[in-house]
Amino acid sequence: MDKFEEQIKAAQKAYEPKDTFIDATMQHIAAHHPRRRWSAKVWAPALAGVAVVALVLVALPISSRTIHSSNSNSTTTTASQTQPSTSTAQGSSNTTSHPSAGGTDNASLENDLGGVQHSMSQENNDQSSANSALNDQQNEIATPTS
Amino acid sequence: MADVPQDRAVIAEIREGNHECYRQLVERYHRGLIQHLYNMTQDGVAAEDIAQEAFVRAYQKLAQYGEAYAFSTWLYKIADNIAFRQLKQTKHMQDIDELEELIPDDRPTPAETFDRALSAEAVRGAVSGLPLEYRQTITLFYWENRSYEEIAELLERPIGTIRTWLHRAKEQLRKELYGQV
Repeated sequence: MDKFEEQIKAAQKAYEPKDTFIDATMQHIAAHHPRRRWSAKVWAPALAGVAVVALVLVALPISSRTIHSSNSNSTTTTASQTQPSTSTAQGSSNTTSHPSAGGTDNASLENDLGGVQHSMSQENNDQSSANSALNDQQNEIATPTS
Repeated sequence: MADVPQDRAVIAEIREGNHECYRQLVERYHRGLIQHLYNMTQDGVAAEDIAQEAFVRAYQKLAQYGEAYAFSTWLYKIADNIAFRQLKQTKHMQDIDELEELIPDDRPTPAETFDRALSAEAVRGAVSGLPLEYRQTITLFYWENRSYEEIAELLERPIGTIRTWLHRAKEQLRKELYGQV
């Protein structure tokens, strides 16, 4: 290294950074990444809420679909009952798929039976309420008025 | 300067979620980085601002750090990119103006030449007036005692190019300070 190079080397001026540099930098980093600080506190409840809403949104259509399917099964049962000979006449290969269809038919028949029983009990209730009303009228007639 | 195994352990901790560990890297490298940037800019406030931005960017992009080279080298590259952009936008023209003020048009007398040659301020002013690549090569080689290999890695240039830049930078400095090549 010649004299000129030594002069270049000696020309460096040392700079002392501020004492606050490290803290300021760490604060700057934290300010640029706020989500890193509160991600667990915010995202976990938010995700739980979204999950609950999603469950409700999924469960409601499924329950209504089951009601619809039971209704449609009952109608298809009545439709299939009108032409039982065609399926049996088509051959023995079709009979392999019948057990499951028969199961659903039984279920729909039970549903229908339950519905009929419900309507019968409703009619009985109506009848009893009509009877009680009639009794009330008769009591009013029987009661002497001054 | 760089402690590569320890840096990698700290970076692994940060990646596992212990973000406060980044403070260790800031504490370890901030002085060297700020001095490096001060050598480039000759402006303490600008050096600290660039260093802070470099630390923030390095933190944000820590997932992209591939450990192909030392963390300090990667950090210095980020800082140099920021410094280059800022110097090209604002400081470069100011440096040239300052240099023109420092060095009069008429050639100095031998006594004046000797005094000015001894003046570290004059050398720093002349270094500030060099093109960015020359300035960085001079500061890395003479002021930060980096080897040709380290400078080549940092500036992503072949070693031969670094040698050429250093030679031309010295020629230009000699011309600026002594009025001769």
